[in-house]
Amino acid sequence: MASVPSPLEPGPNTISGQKGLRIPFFILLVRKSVRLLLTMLLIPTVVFFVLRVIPGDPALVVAGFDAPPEVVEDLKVKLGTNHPPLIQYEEWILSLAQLDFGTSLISNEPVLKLILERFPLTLSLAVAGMLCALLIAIPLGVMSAVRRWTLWDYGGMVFSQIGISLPSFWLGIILLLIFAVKYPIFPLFGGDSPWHLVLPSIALGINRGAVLLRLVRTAMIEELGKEYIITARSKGLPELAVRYRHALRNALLPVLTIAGIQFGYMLGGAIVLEQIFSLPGLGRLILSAVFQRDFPVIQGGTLFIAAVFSLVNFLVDLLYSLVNPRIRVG
Amino acid sequence: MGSEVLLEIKDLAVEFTAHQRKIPAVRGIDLTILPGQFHALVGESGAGKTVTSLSILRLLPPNVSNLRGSIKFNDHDLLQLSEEVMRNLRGREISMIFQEPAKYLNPSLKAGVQVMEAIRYHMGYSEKAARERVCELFEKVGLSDPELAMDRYPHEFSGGMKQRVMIAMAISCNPSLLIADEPTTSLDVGVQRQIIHLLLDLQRSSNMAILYITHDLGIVRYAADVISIMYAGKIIESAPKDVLFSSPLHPYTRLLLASIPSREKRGTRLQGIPGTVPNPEDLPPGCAFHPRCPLAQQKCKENVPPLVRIEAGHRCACFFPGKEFGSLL
Repeated sequence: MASVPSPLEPGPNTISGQKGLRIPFFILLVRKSVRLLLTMLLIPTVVFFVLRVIPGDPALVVAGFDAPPEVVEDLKVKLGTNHPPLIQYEEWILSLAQLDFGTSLISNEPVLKLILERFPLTLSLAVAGMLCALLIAIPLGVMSAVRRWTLWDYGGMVFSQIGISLPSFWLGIILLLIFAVKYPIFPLFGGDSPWHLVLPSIALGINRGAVLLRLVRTAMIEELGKEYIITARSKGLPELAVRYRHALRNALLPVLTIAGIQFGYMLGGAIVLEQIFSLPGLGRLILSAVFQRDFPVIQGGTLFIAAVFSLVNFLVDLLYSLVNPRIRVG
Repeated sequence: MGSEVLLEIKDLAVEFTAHQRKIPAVRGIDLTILPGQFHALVGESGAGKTVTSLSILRLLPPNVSNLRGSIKFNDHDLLQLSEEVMRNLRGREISMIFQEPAKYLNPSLKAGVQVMEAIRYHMGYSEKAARERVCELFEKVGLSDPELAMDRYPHEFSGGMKQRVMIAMAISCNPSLLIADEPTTSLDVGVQRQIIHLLLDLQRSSNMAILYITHDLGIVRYAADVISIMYAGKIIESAPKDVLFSSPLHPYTRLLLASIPSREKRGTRLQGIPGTVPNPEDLPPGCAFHPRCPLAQQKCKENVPPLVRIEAGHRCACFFPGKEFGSLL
């Protein structure tokens, strides 16, 4: 036995021996940007053809069915529908490339100007709604996961079930009736102060928050069962640090992705709630355009929302890879 | 090496309940570790080694239905301490490294941050002081370029280096006991040696005791001071390393030793142990090893052999300690 050489010789060890696994953020940015650009080209195409597929000549609808033919012809020229669809499509794309969304048939103002006037309100409503959703989902979800199968957890689940089942427009009306009509704490309509956003963003946030809550709970339960949690506890960290610093950090990755995707829906929900709370946002602009058959505004508004939606997802992707360095591998 | 005892486990038994079935993972073990001692706990998987180590830190999963015995650490029974006091011991006095560093490191926190946590929490270091300490530690555990390593995520290290990060984390507050649960099992052979070498260095330079858990007797052959062999939730033999290797008494130990490849045995057939480890839910009566034991008699099927002292420091739980296998093998 004495002749056996000691196996305890130290060997070489360098970090530089490792290949750099990290894909540079820059390359990722380029990749995702190309994808975004392609989407941006696709969206106007879809918007254009969807509107053309809808039956009924737009000019006829706008002018009224009993309008004299020369008025209709006039409108066709104004709308550009006197050309074949492919020519129209070409013109639409070319003008879009110059950021020209056309002019409103009703107010004669540039569509882009109308959109940009209204959009900040819609955006801030969606952001406030998302904030509200996360403020509900994260603490309740963590609580449910940590105390799972207790009354706390069941309480969270019941809340989530109710929240998912309640449509936000209904919740909006109820909130409005209680907190603006019966107890006039919040304003009934209008949108010139952040105060006006409180009720609609709660209505938006409860619904989305209820969905995210389940996600946070599931993700937290999964993360709390992982081995690195034992390491964190074996270091003597207090339970709060184990939960929020270690587990939640990893649990937030899937939650962030879904929240990002939901942000698009948040914009959609905001458009509905604008109606209920009489907020002069993008939704009201598009809706009144629909009633008035203001095609350039409908077209431009839809395109704008779709573009914002893709842009948000693009940003979420980038954010995700910043939070989770492993995404950058592969 | 002081003569007082650092850790004294007495009659520790841990039972889990899963799917309404009771699983006795540890069935009454005694174990003593002196300050600065390298104590190896050897056994096949499912023998209860990891459960033993997790009970020392009181980090057992919540489905423990029965926990008996005492674990005295510097004369305090760990099983009786409040959670808060216990938390102050974890990472500071007793720390632990694990089998798969890839899983036991948080994937989304930088290595430096993870090592820093215990230092900041237990020793109240400022961010800057903690960073310096991490640098020192990284150098100590053989990570070149500590500044760079600190800002890397776990997946950017190789397996061996992840384990070095874990070790740096574990020794960051100069603990008096390090529990190493199969720290080299998932690593390449060459890296295994480096890690054991590192642990030995640390043990000697800072008089830190190590409870080294492994299924591989060969790996602790050069490092351990004392070796305890565990089988089906019990310690069946315990002795100083040299004694255990030169005169093993329990048939299981002897079969284990026969199964280690070595230079002297070159050219001969390697000996395995017939049969498999019993399922803890369904242990055989009497000595749990008797179905696999070449020496088993009627007595072994009916009675549980107690762990008795054969000579100073050498204990064995067998009715026929050291009896020749003869022509049985």
